[in-house]
Amino acid sequence: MRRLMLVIMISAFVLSLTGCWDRTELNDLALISATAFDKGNNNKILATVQVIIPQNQGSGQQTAAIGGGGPRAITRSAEGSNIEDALSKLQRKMPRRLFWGQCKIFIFGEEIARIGIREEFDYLVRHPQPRERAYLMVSKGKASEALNLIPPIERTSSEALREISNLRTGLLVTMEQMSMDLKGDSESNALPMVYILPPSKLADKPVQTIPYMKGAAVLKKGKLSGELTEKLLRGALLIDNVAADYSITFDVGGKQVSLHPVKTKVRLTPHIEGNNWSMTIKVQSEGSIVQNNSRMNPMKPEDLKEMNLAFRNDIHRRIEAAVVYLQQLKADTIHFATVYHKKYPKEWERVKEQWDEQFAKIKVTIEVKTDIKKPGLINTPGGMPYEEVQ
Amino acid sequence: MKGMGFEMDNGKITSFQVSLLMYSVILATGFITIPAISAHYAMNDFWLAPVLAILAGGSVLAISIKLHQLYPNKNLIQYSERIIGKVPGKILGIIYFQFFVFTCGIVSREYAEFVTGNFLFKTPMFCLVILMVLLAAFAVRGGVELIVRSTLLLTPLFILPLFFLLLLLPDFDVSNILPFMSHGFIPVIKGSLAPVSWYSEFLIIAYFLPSVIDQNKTVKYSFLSLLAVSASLTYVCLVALFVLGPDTANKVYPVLTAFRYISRADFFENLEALLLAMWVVGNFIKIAAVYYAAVLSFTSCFNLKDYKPFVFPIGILIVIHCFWDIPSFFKMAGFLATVGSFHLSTFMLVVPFLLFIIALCRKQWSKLVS
Repeated sequence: MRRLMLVIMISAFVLSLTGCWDRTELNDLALISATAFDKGNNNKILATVQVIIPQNQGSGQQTAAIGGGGPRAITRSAEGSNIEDALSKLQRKMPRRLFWGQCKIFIFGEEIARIGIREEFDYLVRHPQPRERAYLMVSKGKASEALNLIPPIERTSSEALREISNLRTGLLVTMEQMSMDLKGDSESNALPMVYILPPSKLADKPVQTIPYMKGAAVLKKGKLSGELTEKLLRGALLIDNVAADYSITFDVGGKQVSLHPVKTKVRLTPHIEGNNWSMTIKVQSEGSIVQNNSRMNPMKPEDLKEMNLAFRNDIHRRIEAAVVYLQQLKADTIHFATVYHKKYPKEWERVKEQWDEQFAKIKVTIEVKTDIKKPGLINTPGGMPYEEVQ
Repeated sequence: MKGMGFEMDNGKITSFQVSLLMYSVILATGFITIPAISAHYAMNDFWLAPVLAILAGGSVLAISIKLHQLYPNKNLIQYSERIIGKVPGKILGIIYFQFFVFTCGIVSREYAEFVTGNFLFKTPMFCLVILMVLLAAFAVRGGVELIVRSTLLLTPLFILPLFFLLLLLPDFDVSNILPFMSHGFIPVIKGSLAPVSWYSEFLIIAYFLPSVIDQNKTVKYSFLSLLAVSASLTYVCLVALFVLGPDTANKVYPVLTAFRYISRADFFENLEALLLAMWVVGNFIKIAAVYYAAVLSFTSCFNLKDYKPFVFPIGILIVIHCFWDIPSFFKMAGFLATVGSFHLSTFMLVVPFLLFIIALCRKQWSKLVS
């Protein structure tokens, strides 16, 4: 009898082991792929989420066969006094539970970034669901517009942004990096700026386009205080040395030469002498020629020397322009503060409070060494007879 | 049960098994809690704290092993009666029993807070605690051999996830280690108080030593265990520092954040489930070991022959302590970061040290007399 009871009890337990009782199925969840925050009315915050529609996700061919299929994502927004308030109101407009695990993009609108995003940022790093690996961006204009687009190739506009970021041709900032920057020494950082690509003439609707990134927003203590143009961003990226795959085009005697890929090593050496703070940026760049519009023959040592010189000057100019601009803005997005803190902890403690002022006063010396490594497949300039090349 | 002799638990274990057990006992909660507490005090030098704390761990180990050599086959409570006399010994025994029940309650609470706060948001904490303590109770009832064998089985599961942290290698910023000791040595010492209190849990070995058969290897293996503990903890601290930098002190669980940050090849993502597995396994071992120490303190104090009838009642006490002592996560974190360090190291470092001194004096005295 006892044994029978035991068997019955064990079998009863086995049933509960399946975990069906508090299961969460895919069709109970609203998978958020991106979130945008904009300034709402009366100092409120407008949260917009892009939610993937799983029914419309089938592979490209299938959807075409069925006849286009519906949109693959929808957006929905709600206003609230802060993010959580807005999102809880948003939840009431959604028949499925919001799920953050797949949200890989957070975009802040220009207006809200101008007011400051530090307070809202707290939510993103405190809430257990948003991932630290998510990418952060600032959008030109309203952030929600970037999510409303229907990209022609990628599944969703957020996927387009994510894939562009993953190419690592430009700036890429994860939530954890931003968190470190805000907690760190300079309290300034740069976030990629999102623009909307003008739709092609063949597009049926004006929303058939993608968001893309150009330049960067400069945030001081979480407040948008300036903008790096694409050209200035290149200089700033060179100093931080984070971009992995990029090309450089420079002038040699009025004609362009392009190198790709360019590999760069950067070394920042801080000095302090009395009250004079200076920073030496040592850059070592190398690349291979992929286009040569000039009449120079890289096989000739003297021509190569001239090309190297032009390459050097170009990099020098890029970095200088970025540094000058950032010093004018008094925004240390290039982490000079950290470099000084590491080498001169005591002196750093003294200027910590007025770092922005101190940063503007740093005398920056740029030393560039360049080396053009390979000519590509041809030697003298192609597309013209030998006689035209000196 | 067979052999109702003087020993209450006649299981036989080896030194290696005990040292493996101690590894999990120290690190099960250590991995999660120590980096945050140490980073709070020592800023970017917090990785030194686990290294510095070796001194404390080493002394606790030396004291417990030496005391056991002076009084073979006796546990902490049994020989403290011999050292400081019958009545004070009994009082100390009751204090230790209370201390271990309390510690076990805190550990269960740490475990439950971590799981409900980060993974199972809707599960009542009560369920997690009850299930874990019940499981530990079965293990303790099974005796020392069962605890040690489950350790042998589970420790690889506990260690393996640590290697996944290496997937973060491309995100490492080694220069985060600078500036080295810019605020002097004091913050590092403050930061090492937490690892000191954790390392002092090596005292629990005093309850397992009477069951060890190869006593001659105990010193070697237990110090190896201490080194392994220190190396693993330093490694985890360094990973947290390299990945999170100045942000480490702000994270409630830096290692969890590091695990969450892993993303390789769009495939190795959301690995924190591994951390949860590790956490559950490690805490089962830890709770069982502290539970065992609590039960043994009780039975040795009252010279009880069989400890098994007391396992479940003491389990209820542990659950009560888990809920009544700690009203909220904030109180727990505050306790661990401040009072806890002193509380733990008083009972696990200072008191055994005093016992050891008295024992030595007694020995010298009896030599002089004879």
